[in-house]
Amino acid sequence: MEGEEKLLARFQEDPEKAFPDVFRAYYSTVCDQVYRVLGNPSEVEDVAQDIFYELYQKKDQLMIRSSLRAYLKRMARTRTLNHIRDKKWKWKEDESVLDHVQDRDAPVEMKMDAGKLREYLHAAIDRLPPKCRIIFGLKRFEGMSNREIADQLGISVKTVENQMTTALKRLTSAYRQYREDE
Amino acid sequence: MENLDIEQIILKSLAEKLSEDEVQRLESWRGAHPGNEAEYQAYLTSWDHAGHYSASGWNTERAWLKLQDRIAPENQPVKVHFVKRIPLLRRIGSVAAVFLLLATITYGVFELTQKKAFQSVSALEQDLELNLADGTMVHLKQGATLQYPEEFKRKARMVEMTGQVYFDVARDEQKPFVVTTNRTKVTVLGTAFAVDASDEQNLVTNLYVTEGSVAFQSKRNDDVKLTVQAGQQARLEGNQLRPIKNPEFNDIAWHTNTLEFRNMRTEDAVQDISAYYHVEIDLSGSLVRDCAITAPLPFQDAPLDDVLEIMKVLLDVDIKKTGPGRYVVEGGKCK
Repeated sequence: MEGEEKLLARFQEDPEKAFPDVFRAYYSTVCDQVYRVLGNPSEVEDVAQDIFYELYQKKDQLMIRSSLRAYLKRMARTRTLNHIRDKKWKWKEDESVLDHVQDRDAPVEMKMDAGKLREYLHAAIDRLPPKCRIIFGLKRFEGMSNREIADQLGISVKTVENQMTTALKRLTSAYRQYREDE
Repeated sequence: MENLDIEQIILKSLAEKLSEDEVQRLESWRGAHPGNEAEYQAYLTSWDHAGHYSASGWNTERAWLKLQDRIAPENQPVKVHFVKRIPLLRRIGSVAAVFLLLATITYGVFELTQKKAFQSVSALEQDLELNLADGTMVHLKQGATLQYPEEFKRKARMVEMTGQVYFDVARDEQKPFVVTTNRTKVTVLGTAFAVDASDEQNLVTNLYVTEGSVAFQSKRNDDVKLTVQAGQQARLEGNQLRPIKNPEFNDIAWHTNTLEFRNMRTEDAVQDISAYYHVEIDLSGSLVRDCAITAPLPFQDAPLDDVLEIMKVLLDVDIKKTGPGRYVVEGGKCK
């Protein structure tokens, strides 16, 4: 099995030739990361296409000091945030905690080894209202602070807090549901 | 108001450091009522386990084709070149010989470049599924690699692999499908099977056939060969190629998602469970290690908890969870 360092070395030596291998090695990882924030598989695939297209175009003048994984991770984060900004959502209308709930389509299949509790929690995440879901994703998976999220999305810290409260209420209620069913 | 405050403190505690004052308020709230502590634990557990949220089944090959379309102009000069020459050859009949020669050379060059058009994939982080140009489905277990041509132009469909790979081969009587590892060669027309070459440094290669029949051969010595049928397993060990009497299909549970226990030693069964679910199960404190175990039905796509539940009943044991992915089996007796 080829290690990541070797792949990076090949990529820096002959980007054109190694690009397909880089794509195949990291495509799923990138999709996973974007999915954790966006949640919608077809949007995720679009964003991932843009990320690798950008990588392809930049491939000859890239200076990657850390690792390809870390580099792609940063690209994925930037692209995801841009994608959210491009939606030009009216965040303001959405500030109430008792926000109208609209269930989205079931996501792509979950990993098998996730325990029962995780299935409950993952289903609860999938059912969060779209904007609430994104704020939760940025906080939980991208490790952004409320202030950073507020600045990125052009909303108040209060709104971020409210949305996080909603998200966690839903999750803990899924947790209690799991306890009852078990 | 008080409640809303404490809620925000709990939320903050999940992802950030609390101030002294906040720590104290949280502590005293948790101590004030048993229900509060339970509430706090619900938050913690939910937050922790939500962290495992992920999806699987991204279609890498489809995405790759899409991306290739986007970057195509820079990438595929050879093909364009080749297509141009054909009508030229058809139009000019009298000097056909010359052009035939030219075309042959071009074709030769084309073939050469095509041979380089080998793809290689590595399942670095997680299992990988892909479809080859002939419609063959391949499932690479994490750690496996596969090299295959973008198109199967030659007389045989040749691929090379390491690690553990499952193949569901599209039938083509004209073009046998040949899988090679460091030590073995597997030839089929259209069947499904898994090759485990992950232990080749110890000179062991396993073949599990789930459909049809497969010719299994040592690479060093063509005469060492064996035909393996569906439901059978064979192993090349050193220079010895032999069928396995009790096929261990649990070894390819990573593909079939099926575990089956028929008159098995409990220790072996527990090893299969640990490998499939990526957990540690400690049997050392129990009395059932050498007991034979038979589960009434195979477990397919079953959660670990279901499997453990049945084990408890079958062996009359206690199974305790001692940490994330760690279990201890206690007591029990052979039945």
